[in-house]
Amino acid sequence: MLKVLVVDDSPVMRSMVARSLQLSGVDVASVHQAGNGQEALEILHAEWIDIMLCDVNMPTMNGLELVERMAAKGSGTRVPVVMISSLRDPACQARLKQLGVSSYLEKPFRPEALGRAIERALGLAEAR
Amino acid sequence: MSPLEPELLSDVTASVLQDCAFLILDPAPTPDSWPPDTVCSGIPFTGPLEGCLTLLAPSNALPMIASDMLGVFPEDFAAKVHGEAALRELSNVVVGVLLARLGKEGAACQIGLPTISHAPELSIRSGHQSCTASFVDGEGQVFGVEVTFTNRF
Repeated sequence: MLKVLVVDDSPVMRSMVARSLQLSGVDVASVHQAGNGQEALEILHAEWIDIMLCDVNMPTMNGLELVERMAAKGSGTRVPVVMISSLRDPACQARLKQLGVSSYLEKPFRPEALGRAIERALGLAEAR
Repeated sequence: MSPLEPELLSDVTASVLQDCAFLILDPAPTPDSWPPDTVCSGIPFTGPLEGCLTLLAPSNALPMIASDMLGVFPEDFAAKVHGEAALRELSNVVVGVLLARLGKEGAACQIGLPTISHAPELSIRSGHQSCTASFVDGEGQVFGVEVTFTNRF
């Protein structure tokens, strides 16, 4: 069962992602929530997280900055990440791929697509 | 001339609102002015295309929108306090889908953070290029979307 961290500045989106998790068929033990990258780093430091579902556009520290900080600390390779965003910028997606994030889900998404993105991210993590 | 056709703006907006918030809206003529209880979420975008998308909804529709997105009852506390957050998130999704439909230029754009304002005026300004679409729901409440480009075309 997975311990999940959902990172999004929108409380509505965090709830929607949590609901989609329930509907996706993924076996979830707990869901932690963070409103920006800084809060996410604090949770990652304090808790064991199996997978992070993260928005790109956020105030204080956005999703790309968060993943860069995780990679710089060396913890990025431990926590698989699924980026969830309305942004379709190829340059941003390419940069995320360089940082080891290959699972990118565009909004709006269906629960089954979230389930597949999580499986992909976990599968890639195991392959590493 | 704006790179955006009103039909595309209308189709994308209606589709997103239906998928994300279960809102069934019919196209409607753009009013001369938006009702005074209208709440709007403006979200800027920059890059090959620059401008702002504004999504407009009646204030008393926000709890219903939030309740559908959160999976709670409209009278629940969460629906009442997160109405504006729900509108902000919808504007975020609309602009992302719309820019992707505008080809490589749109897909390469950066999207900013949405902000809420109230009682808007139609923003057709000289030197700017705008595209507007309006909708009504089953109760006759007016919703709208407006995109203003600040690039020169």
